[in-house]
Amino acid sequence: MRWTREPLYKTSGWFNQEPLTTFDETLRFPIALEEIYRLIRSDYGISIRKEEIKIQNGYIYFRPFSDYILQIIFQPQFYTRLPKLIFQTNYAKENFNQLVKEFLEELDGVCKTDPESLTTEKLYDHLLKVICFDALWVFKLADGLHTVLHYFSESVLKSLYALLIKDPNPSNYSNLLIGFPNKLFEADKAFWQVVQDKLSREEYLSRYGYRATDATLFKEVVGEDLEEKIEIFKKIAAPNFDKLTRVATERRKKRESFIDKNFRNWVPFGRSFFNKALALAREYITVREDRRFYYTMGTYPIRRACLELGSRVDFLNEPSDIFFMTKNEVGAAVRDSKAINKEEIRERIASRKTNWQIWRKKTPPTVIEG
Amino acid sequence: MTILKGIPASVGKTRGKTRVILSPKDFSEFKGGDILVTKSTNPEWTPLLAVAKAVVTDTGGALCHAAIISREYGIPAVVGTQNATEVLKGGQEIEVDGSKGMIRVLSE
Repeated sequence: MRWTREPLYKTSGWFNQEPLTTFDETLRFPIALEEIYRLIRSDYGISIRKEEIKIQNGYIYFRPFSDYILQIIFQPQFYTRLPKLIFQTNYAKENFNQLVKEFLEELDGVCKTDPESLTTEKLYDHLLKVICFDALWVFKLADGLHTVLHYFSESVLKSLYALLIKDPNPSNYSNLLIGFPNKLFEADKAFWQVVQDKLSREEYLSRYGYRATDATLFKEVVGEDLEEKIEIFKKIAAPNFDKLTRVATERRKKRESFIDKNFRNWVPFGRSFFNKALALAREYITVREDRRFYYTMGTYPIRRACLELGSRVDFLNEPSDIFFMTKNEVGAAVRDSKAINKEEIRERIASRKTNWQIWRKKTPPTVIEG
Repeated sequence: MTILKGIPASVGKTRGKTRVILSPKDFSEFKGGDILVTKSTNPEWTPLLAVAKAVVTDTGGALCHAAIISREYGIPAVVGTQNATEVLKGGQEIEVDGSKGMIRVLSE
């Protein structure tokens, strides 16, 4: 059986570059995946087998995309429930904006819970809840016509560009989609404003700071060790974001005029199709960028709860050692730590940490069999 | 002349000095106008791209984080080279062709 990491490389490039830890693999991911599978079943009636994702040495592997398609299209629910998406066409973007608003409000509520104020048992329950919360919102932000439309519109634009424009480099179509506002660009600009003392740290952190920097909870989120990063960036000459935006807009306009001059006008309705595809791709380009931004924000409350829990487990050398404990070990430590052979667990944690350090130094194979 | 190939992610051609950055601890070595060579870029790294001359990564595809951000910043980018961080050394003069997905080492 063939397993691949390609989807991660192609669309994110950074997610799961560091291997998952024991905690991620035995507790967080199984709970999150179970929640996502449950939502897919309840929303679409489609079942996805649990064994469709494999984790080897902390790295996530998927079945080839075609396998998922084959699995889904043979389920009758796919045909009965899917048409509901079509009725969302006119308000897909609005729907996405509404989802984002709800997500940010709920996230704000979740982040207001101070893990330090909870008893250990309640803290563990809170941890499980925030894991489900994160999974629920990753699903919600992905689920809907806005996702279909942003993939579809860009794919169509790319194909039409190659077909209708006399350009030896068809990948230039991407220059038609630059210079629009998006959260990633906005967050970078805000960071540089903090470096230049034009924006307060608190404001930056509340709006952009708590994004994950990898799939593993072990990795700090963006806003942690902010002061250290600010000091480093102060030594680098700050960019002129207005100029960057202006240049991006100029490049886009230049590409537009290139298209006007190099359009294969002999294709019937070509211009009309192209303009419609371009308008749709531009409408949904912010969905593509912003969705990635919001996906990464639910990690922080989980990490925060974990570290607090780790600080209460008396046999750990440091709170972050909790990331090298299994689900059962964490559960036992929360229920009755006296019944645990602490020396044995400490040895296991040390051994897992060593293995993790070895895995992170190696580049995982893109494809594996087995 | 060493030539590396990757996925063309952001068009444009430029020359400059490489700075191999493997973790945020190395950020302080980076100077505005350097060519950023790294395994991948995550949200913690993207402010660096705003001052980079070009970006080269080991992993990624045309829709990856580094590619999208590079296009916004208008800097050439070649992603998915597999081993740029191993082959390239800091301070080397290289040419990055973001349209063809090629990197040429001009000075060893």
